[in-house]
Amino acid sequence: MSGFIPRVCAVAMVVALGGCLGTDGPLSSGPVGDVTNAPVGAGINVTAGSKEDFIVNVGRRIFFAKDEATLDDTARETLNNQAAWLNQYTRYRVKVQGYADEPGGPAANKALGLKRAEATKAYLMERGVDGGRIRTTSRGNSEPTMRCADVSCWAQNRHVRTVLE
Amino acid sequence: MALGRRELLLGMAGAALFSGRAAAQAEAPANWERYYDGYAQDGTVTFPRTRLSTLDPQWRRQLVKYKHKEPPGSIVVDTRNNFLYVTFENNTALRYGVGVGREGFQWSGRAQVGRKARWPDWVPPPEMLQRRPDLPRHMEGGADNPLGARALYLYRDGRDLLYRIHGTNEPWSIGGDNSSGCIRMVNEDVIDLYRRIPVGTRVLVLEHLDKSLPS
Repeated sequence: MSGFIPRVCAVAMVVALGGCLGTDGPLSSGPVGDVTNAPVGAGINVTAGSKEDFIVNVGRRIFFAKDEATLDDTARETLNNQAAWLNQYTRYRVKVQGYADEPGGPAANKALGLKRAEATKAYLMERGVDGGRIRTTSRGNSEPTMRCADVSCWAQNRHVRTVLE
Repeated sequence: MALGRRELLLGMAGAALFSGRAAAQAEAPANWERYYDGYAQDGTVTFPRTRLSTLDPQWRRQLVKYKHKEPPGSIVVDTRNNFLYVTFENNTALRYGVGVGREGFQWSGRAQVGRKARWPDWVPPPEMLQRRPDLPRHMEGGADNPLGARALYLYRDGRDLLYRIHGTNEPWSIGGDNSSGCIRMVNEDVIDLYRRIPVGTRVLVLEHLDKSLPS
């Protein structure tokens, strides 16, 4: 019966503007299968300072505009968080890996990827991370996250990934 | 807390707005205060920090096994199970709990993130204004705005689908089905998602199947 609630609400909404939540409470989906949705790693009990903590609570990737190696506000926010985390957990070294896509050939993209990685390293250092802990590399356009000829792929591929070592 | 619930709701626009919010959002539980833990700063905006421990564990951001066919870095929205995934390699994903509003059920398919905004303005859709003429025509972005800290606007073929993934300052509405809105996430999560997702990102909104059917 609970399955009907969303649709009933959708209809009732037009008439009464009533809140669904007030009457029925959150509809819990419960476990939804053993393969899909099984926790990987520690679930919500991630150990502070673990690699998983970095992935879940900080994020490894920052993104760039076409042909650009400058950091935008969003990239700087992520890097602020990365720097704070790295300054707290000094046992890690990081590989800062640049990627690029369209336009240009492999050499141009390799160079752009490196430029992005270097800009990232410079910013992390500005935020107090010891440059000796950071090495930069570029994969250029050789390992795209997505392959296709439109922005949905290019946007993903124009990035820098900070990998803990 | 220095700021009461009512002030939080009323914000800058007064009583007319309060009724607007009542229409737009889920009813607050009596113990709403426990859902917050002081304040956080995001740019120029101060907003009530969500006490994440008040969320059911399944609605909290976590790494899960997820069988999917999407390229890594995509978003998958599962309105039936109140989950949003950012897909990673090797059939894993970062999973967030979401609240699903009326508009969230009404569309499924493939789209792209066409636009993103920080502390977005809210313009109630005409059909909602027809029902509720007392609603503001336009509400500036901020801690009291129903869209919360961020919005991701879904487009297809360059057209705004009017389908949005957005924040909320009503943590109790996560994991539930709400009277209004699209896909809502606690502000901390939508801020996190915003950083992980460039404009252009692919989004798959799964068909909304009846929850009473077996998975």
